[in-house]
Amino acid sequence: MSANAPETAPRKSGSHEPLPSRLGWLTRIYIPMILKGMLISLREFFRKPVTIQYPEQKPRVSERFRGEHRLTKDAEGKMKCVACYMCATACPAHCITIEAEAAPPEWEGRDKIPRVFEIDMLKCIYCGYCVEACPKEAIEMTNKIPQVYRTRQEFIYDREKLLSN
Amino acid sequence: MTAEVKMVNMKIDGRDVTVPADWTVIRAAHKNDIDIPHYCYHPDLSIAGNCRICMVSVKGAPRPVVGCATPVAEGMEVTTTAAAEVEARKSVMEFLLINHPLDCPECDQAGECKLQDYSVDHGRDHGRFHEEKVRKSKSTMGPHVKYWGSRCILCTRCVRFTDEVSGTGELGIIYRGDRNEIATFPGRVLDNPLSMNTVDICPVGALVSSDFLFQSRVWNLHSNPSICPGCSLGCNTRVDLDAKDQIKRIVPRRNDAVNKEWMCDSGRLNFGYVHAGRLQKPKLGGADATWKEARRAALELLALNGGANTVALISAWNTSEAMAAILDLVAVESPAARIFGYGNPVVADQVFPGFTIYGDKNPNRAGMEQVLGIADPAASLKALASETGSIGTLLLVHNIPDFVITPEFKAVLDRSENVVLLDFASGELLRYGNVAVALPTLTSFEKAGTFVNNAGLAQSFEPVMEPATYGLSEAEIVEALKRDVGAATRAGAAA
Repeated sequence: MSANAPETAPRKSGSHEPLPSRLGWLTRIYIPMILKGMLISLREFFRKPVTIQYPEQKPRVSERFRGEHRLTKDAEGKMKCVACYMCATACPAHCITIEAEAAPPEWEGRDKIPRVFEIDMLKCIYCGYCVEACPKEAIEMTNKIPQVYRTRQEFIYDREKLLSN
Repeated sequence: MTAEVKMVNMKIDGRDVTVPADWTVIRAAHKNDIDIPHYCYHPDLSIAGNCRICMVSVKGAPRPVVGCATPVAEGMEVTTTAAAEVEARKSVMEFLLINHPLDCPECDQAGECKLQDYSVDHGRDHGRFHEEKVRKSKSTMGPHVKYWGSRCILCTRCVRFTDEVSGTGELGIIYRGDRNEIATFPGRVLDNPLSMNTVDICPVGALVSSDFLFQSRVWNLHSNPSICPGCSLGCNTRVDLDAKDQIKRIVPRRNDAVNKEWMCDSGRLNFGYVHAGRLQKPKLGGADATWKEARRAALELLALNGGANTVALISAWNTSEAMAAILDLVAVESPAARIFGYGNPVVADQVFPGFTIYGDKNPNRAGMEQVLGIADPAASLKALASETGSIGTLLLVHNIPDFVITPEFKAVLDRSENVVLLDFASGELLRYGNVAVALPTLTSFEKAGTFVNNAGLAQSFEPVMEPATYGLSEAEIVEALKRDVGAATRAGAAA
């Protein structure tokens, strides 16, 4: 409409004309392709399924799989964690809650232990940064596939559960 | 101060600086924003020169010298970042860390530790010491201070503090050589009222506060500046809060005109009242009420008989702004009311060689003199208590934590028919039968205000946290009350 626009210039970008179809009429009515797709589905009915019935069945994973966490213990059976908050600081999902307290006086050479150590497994993204950050090798990841529970509260693993995991 | 101070011209890292002739190199550098690392040097303590980290090179000197103990001189040329002193600092860091346990995960100082900072800046990334480290004792120095011997670098800042500032001299160094430890003298404990300053000035995690012990990692705290309301000095403070806006600790903030870098222990620990025992909501005759109901009741009581028998009793713990707001309210609502002041009883000052803890436990007595014209709150309360006859309505603006009700104060309360109480605490006063209306206010940590200290210095502060209750500041309450009065007047005029 512009008076300044040269009349010979083709106006491709602003055109509302539909592009000419390159598909044949058989393709455009879809029916053959629908039948073809249903045939594939029908064939899969008689094959062995590749999925498993999670959570009743668990997949087999490698030894290095990053699954649920575990708090480790030293040779005397005491937890190694000193509540330094390094894992909580490194955690990108903010799923670790720690509250520190003084270690029992009979624990020779230990000052601090976690009174509360909770991991919210629903928030956890299983990245393993907590394991990397730990200066005491007190937290590690097992190859247990994350469990399934019916309430949110059950997903919050406390200190005792993590120690026995 | 008229004495002529002799100045010298010198060069630090190529910059021309002019400083007084009795200064040392480190002070001249810090004054001109040139950082020289230091452990044992503290601007308010004597020079010890024992940590050796502040090495600088002086032109003409054969080897690096310590910046803290080298006096400045005319024409001196100092470098702080040349190869010689960098190498010297690296060696000093290595020696300081030889017997250091590297227990940063368990140490409360981690995150604000000079050993960590300077190790990153000047140290090497690995240790070359393969022998066994010396393990030293762990002890409780006093009610607020614990000592981890292995972490100590023996800078003796704490020893010099107890010698020079608190003057109590509890601390000394025992044993010899690499078994050196800081300890209290036999039979002594570090229990002076300034003991927690040793925790602040300890550049490493050797002296830690038992009250803050394992409470939080410091990088999880956020800090805001404030003014301590504990006494009439008004120490400048830094309030550290956790992610849930709970105050975790209060430490001094440098202000050479007020408190230097010191603060008393009771001021540091006096924040429990912010989080416990608060008046959450307005109360009307002992039951929870809405702000609107409580304001209406308060206004009715204040305007009884045109305020002829109304007394406003204001404590010296209130900010100058709160006092002005109450004056404003009284002028509008009960112009015939009389105004009195009161405060915590004044006890004797505790004077130390380098610091004084004032016995006037009222942060804003001078402000009260400025705003209300009441110079002596105790005398003002005495004058009110000596009167006879009942008080119709007592507008009591309290805001004192841990207040002990004196016989005089009780006499005034007993003579009052109705009390309108403005307070942040749900304490003893509230259980007093004649408190008709109680309006929740805020602590000085939750509102802005001004305290005028005993030297006449007005210090304003901002809130450090969100209000922990439904309380409002006095100015906000008075504004709402005045709005109510205006609405009532307009309604009356329309009817």
